[in-house]
Amino acid sequence: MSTVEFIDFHAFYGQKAVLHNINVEFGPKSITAIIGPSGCGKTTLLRSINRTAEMERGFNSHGDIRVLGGSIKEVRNLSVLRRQVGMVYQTPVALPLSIMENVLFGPRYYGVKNRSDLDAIMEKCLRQVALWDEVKDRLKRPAAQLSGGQKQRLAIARALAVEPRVLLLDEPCSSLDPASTGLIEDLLTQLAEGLCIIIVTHNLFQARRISHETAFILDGRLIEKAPTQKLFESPDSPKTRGFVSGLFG
Amino acid sequence: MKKAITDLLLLGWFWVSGLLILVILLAIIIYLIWRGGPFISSGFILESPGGFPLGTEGGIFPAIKGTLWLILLALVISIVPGLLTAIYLSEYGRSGRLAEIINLLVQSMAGIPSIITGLFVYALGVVTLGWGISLLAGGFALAIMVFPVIVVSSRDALLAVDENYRLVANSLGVSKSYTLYRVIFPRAAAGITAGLLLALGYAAGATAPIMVTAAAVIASSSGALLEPVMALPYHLYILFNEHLSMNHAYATALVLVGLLLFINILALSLSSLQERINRH
Amino acid sequence: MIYRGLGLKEKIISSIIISVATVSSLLLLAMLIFILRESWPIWSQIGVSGFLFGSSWRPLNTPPEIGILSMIVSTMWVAGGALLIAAPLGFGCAIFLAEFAPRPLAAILRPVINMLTGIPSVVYGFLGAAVLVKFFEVKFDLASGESLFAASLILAIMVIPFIVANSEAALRLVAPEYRHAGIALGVSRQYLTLRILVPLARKGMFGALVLAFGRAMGETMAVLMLAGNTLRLPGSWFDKGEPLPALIALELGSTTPGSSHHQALFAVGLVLVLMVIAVNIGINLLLNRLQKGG
Ligand SMILES: Nc1ncnc2c1ncn2[C@@H]1O[C@H](COP(=O)(O)OP(=O)(O)OP(=O)(O)O)[C@@H](O)[C@H]1O
Ligand SMILES: [Mg+2]
Repeated sequence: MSTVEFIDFHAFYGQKAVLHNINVEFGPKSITAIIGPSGCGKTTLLRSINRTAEMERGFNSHGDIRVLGGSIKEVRNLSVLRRQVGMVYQTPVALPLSIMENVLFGPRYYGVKNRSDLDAIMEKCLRQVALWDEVKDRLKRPAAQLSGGQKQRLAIARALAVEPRVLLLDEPCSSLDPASTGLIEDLLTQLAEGLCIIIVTHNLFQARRISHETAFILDGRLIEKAPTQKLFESPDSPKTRGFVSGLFG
Repeated sequence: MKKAITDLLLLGWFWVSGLLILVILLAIIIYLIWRGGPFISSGFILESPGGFPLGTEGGIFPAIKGTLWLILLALVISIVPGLLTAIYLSEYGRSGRLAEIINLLVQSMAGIPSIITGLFVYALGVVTLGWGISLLAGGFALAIMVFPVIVVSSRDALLAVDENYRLVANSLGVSKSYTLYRVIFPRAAAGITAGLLLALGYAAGATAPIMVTAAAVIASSSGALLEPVMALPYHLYILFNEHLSMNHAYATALVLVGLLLFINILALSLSSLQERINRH
Repeated sequence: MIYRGLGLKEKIISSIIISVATVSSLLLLAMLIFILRESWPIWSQIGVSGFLFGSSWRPLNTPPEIGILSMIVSTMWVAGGALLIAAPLGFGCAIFLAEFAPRPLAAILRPVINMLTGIPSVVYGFLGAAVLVKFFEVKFDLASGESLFAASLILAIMVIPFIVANSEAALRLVAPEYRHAGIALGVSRQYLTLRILVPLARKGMFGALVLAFGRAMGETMAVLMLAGNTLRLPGSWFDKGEPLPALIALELGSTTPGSSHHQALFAVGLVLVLMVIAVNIGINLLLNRLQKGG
């Protein structure tokens, strides 16, 4: 069964259509990379899944997206959906709280009160993103003091802390140095053992390195989705070939 | 050649107008200190008006008390509606139709002359509701007057908070009120406080609205809601207008200006603190 | 729409916020309606033109004579005159701050302008009356130095900070490319400012002026203490007069609710508010026209 499924999905900003008739499925326990030129609609596609796209002025959509079998348009309580679907953005954002409170931001809202439960969640999530050893001595310090790469891992830990089933990442490494990028790629590979991960990336090498499948979007249309190796080496569409050939020179 | 002279004249105009502003403020402050300073003493601050007619001697304590009561009451009445309206505009309504209308109304309210607010409260509070000339009516009038100030300054402070925080919090599925309470509000606190201080200062200096709703020439300013109060700005007006005492008038003006400049400087430093926070 | 997909607690919180915001903003309309209602008998008995253009104000006579032409004229003199004085200085200061002031001086001037707005109008009125008016009396050997002009002068000082702050903001909004282009052409900075930057910022600068006009019209204490408070129709800027806000402030306390005098003062209030609102709406229309005109 697929974890996220787009069904005849269209999205608009005002009159302008930015996603046309998207039909695609994302499976559990896998990493799917989404690639495509700037402005083709990748971010919109991701933000449609957790319904944060509708925070933007003029956004509307038709068609449907199913997450874990349920239509996102029928959810009664948005927080249930957003809890299931974690999201990490391009700019690393540390909430203006301590490192600890960043991770516990979601759990506290969802009613975890017990001190030892909170501590356990925090340690588990920080370990998952390989940040624990770096910050365990300064958990109460402002998260703003972390480096960009650390902030991005903190953002992932914060998303993981509410136990999502799907993790969306929008160019998570584009502002990071190679070492931090490597760390995050490793951790995504590990997380994929339990999560459906969808990652937008401009870095085609990264897509090849970590994703099981890759989807190519052009001008708001899904051109092709295939196992990563196939998409890069023998794509069906000449448009895909044109785009990924940049990779091979 | 002619061109050079024009250029020089223009430059002169710009400099003179700029420096004139500085000179005006300095002149006002120095003159007030010169004329009023010698008459400020602990007795002047802490005693009630005395002499005959009242006010020619003694001090201004009830006027200070009355002004503090008035601005406190104004703040108590306006703070909740003011902040909630700001929160609506920045967090809930955003660019929606209702928010647009509310923004317009608030902006127009800011332009309403304060005497009109006094007139309204006179008819509604003093006469219709039977409050009489009272602390309550004055506090209510001042509250209406500072409401738009509070809304606009708090709204802008909230809107200046990094939009990414809202996005991140939203993506975690937490509610707006939780995000507001844990992140947005603390982050904007300095700016909001600065706005509240500005509102307080504005209320403390306002004369016209309390003149028709709350102020008395002599009162004990005990804080009783339905009694008239003395107030610094009105007391200054009376001292001068009734020819009671020029010296006391200057001293009262100095106290009032000193109080307001203090509030103003506090507000200014808070808003620059907020700017530094926002840049982080 | 807003409610879709929210939890119950959040629904309650957001409906409280919406209601409070709506109700408190509607207070403005409530004020207008209330003042209209209180003044209604005047409009129906004396009529709009009789009230506005009647030149005699004897509300206690029987029958009362209620016309506010001389107060309207006073208001216009005082406010218009204030702008006449404040505009060159305010614009000059704004240009100075935006383009010419050395950084440290600008850093001092901006808070100073802020503080000038913090000084209450009664203090301006007091200083004007105690210093300026006295000066006129001595210098020109007048029995009393109060006049519309004296009120304008003090009002000018009061509105300059608004003109400066808003026009400086408008000047700063002009894209830096224009400055670079001008500098590249080798014209003087003064020329560049007056011929290129000011025209580009004129919309905001004009708006600043109108805003100041609205404030000057509604300002009470300073005019009350300086304009002389006579009910005669002023013949010139240097005559005495009694602007509308002063009339309300002076007479409201002595009226009996329900009397024509009381109602007349509410009619005065309504006229004043409508004048201020008209100015603000007028400017918006005018600015839109300007904008379309390029
Ligand atoms: N809030 C908005 N209002 C109007 N149009 C928008 C908005 N956000 C995005 N768009 C438009 O929608 C289209 C898709 O934008 P989107 O951000 O999804 O692209 P993207 O593929 O993520 O681009 P990039 O690789 O540069 O991040 C673009 O043409 C963009 O201009
Ligand atoms: Mg994007």
